[in-house]
Amino acid sequence: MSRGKSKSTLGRIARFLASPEVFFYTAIWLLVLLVVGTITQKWDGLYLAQQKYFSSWFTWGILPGGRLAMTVMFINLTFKLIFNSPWRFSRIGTLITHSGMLLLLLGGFFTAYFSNEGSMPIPEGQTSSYYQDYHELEFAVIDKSPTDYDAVTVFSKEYIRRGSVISHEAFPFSIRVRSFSRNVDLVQRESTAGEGFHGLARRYEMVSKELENEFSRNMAGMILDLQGLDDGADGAYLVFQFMQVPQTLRAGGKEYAIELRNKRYQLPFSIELIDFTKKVHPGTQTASHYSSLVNVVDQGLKREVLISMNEPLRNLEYTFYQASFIEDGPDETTVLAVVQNVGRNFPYVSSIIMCIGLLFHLILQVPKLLRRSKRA
Amino acid sequence: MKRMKLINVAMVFICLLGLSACKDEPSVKQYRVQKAPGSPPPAQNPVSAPEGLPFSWTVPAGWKQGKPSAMRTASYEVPLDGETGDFSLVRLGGGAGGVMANLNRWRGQIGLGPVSAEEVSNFAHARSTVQGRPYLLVTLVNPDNPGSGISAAIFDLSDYVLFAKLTASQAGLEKAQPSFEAFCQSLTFTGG
Repeated sequence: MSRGKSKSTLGRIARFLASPEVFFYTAIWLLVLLVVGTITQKWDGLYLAQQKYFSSWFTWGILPGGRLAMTVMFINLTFKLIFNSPWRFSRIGTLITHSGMLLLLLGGFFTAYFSNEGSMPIPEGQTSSYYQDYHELEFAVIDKSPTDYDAVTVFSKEYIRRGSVISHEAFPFSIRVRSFSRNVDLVQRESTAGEGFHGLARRYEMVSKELENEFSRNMAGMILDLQGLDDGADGAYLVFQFMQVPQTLRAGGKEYAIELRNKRYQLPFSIELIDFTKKVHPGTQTASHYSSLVNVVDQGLKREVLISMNEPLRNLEYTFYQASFIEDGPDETTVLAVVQNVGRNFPYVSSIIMCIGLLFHLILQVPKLLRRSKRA
Repeated sequence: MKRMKLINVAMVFICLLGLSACKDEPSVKQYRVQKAPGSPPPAQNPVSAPEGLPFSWTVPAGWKQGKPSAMRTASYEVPLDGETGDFSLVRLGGGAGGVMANLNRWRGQIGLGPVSAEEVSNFAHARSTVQGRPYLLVTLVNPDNPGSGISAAIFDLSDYVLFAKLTASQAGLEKAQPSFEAFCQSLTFTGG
């Protein structure tokens, strides 16, 4: 009896999940989020608005965010397709279109969870094998003592919060995060701080600021308590994002560097900038065209490629776009925008499938239309 | 019937709530980064006289060979109090765009506005090498950006301009100033 009841309850849930009302109200809610998110970009900035309304499970406390709404829509369409669709040849167009829509949402899931975007600055004549996230942070401890390599230990963003303890067998000291702020100003102290402060923290203190609308303009900062350093150097250290020269330390007779930096993604190959070329509009310093001649170095083999503003480089699942450049005196640095998106083909494939579905649907409607016109 | 619908909605909502609780776990990664090819071990001999160059210099104690670059004649890492400064020596033919253009570009790099030639004396000073060659010593700091500053020396010679530039935090620059000036004063030029 209980088995029958359970089956019946499950059936009811399946029917509820497959009902068109769910799709109807979810679509309306997505429209509301779209409008609100688009308008509030003016105040929140693009990144924060995306995070708050489109990439969140909940927004405004308990209301469904974009991610939850799209998950509900995906579940609804799946149940509708499986349990509540007429599996007949005459409806094959609708079924194909329906599948295309599901594939589009699935692609969105892959993009949300498995794609990364970032920038890759490469000075002329140098090689780089990583790109850095635009927004996400990481904390790195770098052992610089080996002669031919740096041993890097990276802690994810979850460690970058007040009270967090950062330690690892790879280094003989421990770090406790005394304070962290996502946007700081550094203010010179009126007098040098006491003996417990080292490095920049001796002369500067960190002041938290409101987040900037343009999120990439925020400069994160941390005050760290370090224990276990050589020469009685234990105490408070200040590190901040975009620090041009990393904070160095000595512990266990070795040299280390610590960095609060944008998250880095290592590439399975490297890119060497051979030459950066910039053309300017006549009589101005405004760039009209710029390009980067690079070597893609993969397992010792070099492949020369020209990346220009409308001609990106595609290698494996990565796409490299010419985004910007930095002129540092006589040194030139290209800035490539890197996109790693395993779901990049989903929108194309699903659009084609939906078009085929609609085409089938229209073709199969032709005999009906002909019959109606005959009757008329 | 209405009650059952409510129960269904509640169950689905609870499942979705559980799904939304899935968060990224804290992670620690380890990897190795090859040092730049050709990075030699720390300089043992402080006197540097590269072949084919019309000048030589003395490397201050503690400076280490930096990452090589096609544009740089020399590159050093300058150990400071808890940080490492980046030193570059760059030789450019012709006027290299003019002293003022270079000064204002450096000012822009640390968030300062451009200045006129009359205002240069506020932060630039004439110096001379041990050999007696004049050069312009510049220290650029932005009170709003204490994490980066520039000390630079400009040697305006007849055939080329030589730029010695040290980038570090303001506190680092203060500490490095004696060794930076020692480097500049050690430059010895051959020929006219």
